[in-house]
Amino acid sequence: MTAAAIGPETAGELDDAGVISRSLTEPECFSALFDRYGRQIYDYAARRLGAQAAEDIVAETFFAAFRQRASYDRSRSLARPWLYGIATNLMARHRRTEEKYYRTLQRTGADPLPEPLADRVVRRVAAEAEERRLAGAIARLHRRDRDVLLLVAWADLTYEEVACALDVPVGTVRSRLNRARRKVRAAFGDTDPTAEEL
Amino acid sequence: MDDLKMIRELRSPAATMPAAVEDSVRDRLRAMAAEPAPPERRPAARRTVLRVGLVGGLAVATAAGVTVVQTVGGSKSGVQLAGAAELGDRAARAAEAAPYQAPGPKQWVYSRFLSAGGYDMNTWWKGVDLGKKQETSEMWNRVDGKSSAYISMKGELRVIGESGDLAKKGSGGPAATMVGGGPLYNLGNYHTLPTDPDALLRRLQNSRYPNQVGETGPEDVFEMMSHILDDPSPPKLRAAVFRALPKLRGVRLRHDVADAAGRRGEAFAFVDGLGERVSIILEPRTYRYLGTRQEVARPREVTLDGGKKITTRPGTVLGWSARLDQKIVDHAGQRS
Repeated sequence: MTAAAIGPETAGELDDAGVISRSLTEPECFSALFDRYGRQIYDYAARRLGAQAAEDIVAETFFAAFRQRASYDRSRSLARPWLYGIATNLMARHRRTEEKYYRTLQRTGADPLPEPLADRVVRRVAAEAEERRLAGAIARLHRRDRDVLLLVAWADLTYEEVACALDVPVGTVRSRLNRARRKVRAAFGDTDPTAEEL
Repeated sequence: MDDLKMIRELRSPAATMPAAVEDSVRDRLRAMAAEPAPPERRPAARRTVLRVGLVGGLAVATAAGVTVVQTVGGSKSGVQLAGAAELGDRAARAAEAAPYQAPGPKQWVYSRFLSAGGYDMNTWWKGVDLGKKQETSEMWNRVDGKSSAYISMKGELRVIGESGDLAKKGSGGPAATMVGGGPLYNLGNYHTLPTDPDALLRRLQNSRYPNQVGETGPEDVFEMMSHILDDPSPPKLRAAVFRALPKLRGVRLRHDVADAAGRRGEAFAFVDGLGERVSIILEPRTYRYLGTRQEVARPREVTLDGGKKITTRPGTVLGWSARLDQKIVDHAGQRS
């Protein structure tokens, strides 16, 4: 592969599908996607698994995406759901660790995510009761449901994007989210910690 | 309650990616870009994971192998039952009398079901669409619980196997492995459950998921029982479930409840702590499992994101399903 005439800089003008398309002949263009979404994916992984694991997840996500780019459905102009899907799948291997962290937070009030940022330590130690209960509820969700819930709540994906990320029908996304939210609400015994219900 | 807001705030803000990590990923991408290899068209070398598209918790249901063993006269739904206990007893007898052949561990349970569409998270209290917006899904679960399959959005069969088993090929998608725990009890371990209704009830009430937080409540037991009825479970266990259901606190008989396909049946209904009623609908003569329905039973005031308050309206249907088919087959993708 020779050096391309059009580098990552020019790729900035293309949409994601355009970048991927161009990267088939000019692979170095692909890093434009990392510039666009690397931080978001890292963010998401860090919230679920901590900073250290997030480093591996974000790297593997983009390496896997690069290798699979030829099979990307280029009718989808935004690659974000695809990347979140790859990241979510990679994170599945860490399910037990992830659940253990939520449970520890629930039990002790201290979030054991490895390598917490200094300014968050204090807050973590003093986790509110409802935060602990929430962590317990999230730990208890089925992983499929948790993926949907966290892709919506933490990654801000729409239903259609979650469906695309997980390769399931939109109706499945809705039902999983519905179930996850009910379980979370049920963990609070149907009382709203921020606004008392009658 | 503002559950989504609370979740959004949990662990927020997240850590930011260290510059050194960014640099190393970029360097590696550059190195990969410089390699002469063409982009892969086959599944990625590194296994990634896909999940099965299961419909809502209670949706997958039936009694494969149950045949008509008694025909009872009476109302349009077969017979006027006095209460949940009578429904339980009749359904139990039907289950016990039904022919049953235990599926082999490597066989698959094929299921096709219909569910109501139109669920919108932002307006969940308005319920699902009761009209034509229905979605049909199909899935296959291997009896030993170690693999499952579904039809992807592209219409391709996707098999999810345990590590080592291989998954579907052809679309360039990732190979898939099965992860995550399913229900605590499944076809692979139903034989460990007692078949005496009281003992079964005690066992389920005292069972806990390894990562469970909080106590096992009657709604959990109801859901576990519903799962057992979802599966082509052994007749003695089904009978025990049918007889135990009425003993579970809060379970009531409901007459003439329709499933998502419009079939009417008798139902075991349970109102959970949120005031939502879940009904397990049985065919009124054979007591075959038809589907489930979730609806608002008691009005409840809920504060939404942004502080707006709404009140749920009794009768609003929150989830609705119908089992259309269930068969034991030898291979994933097989329908008969």
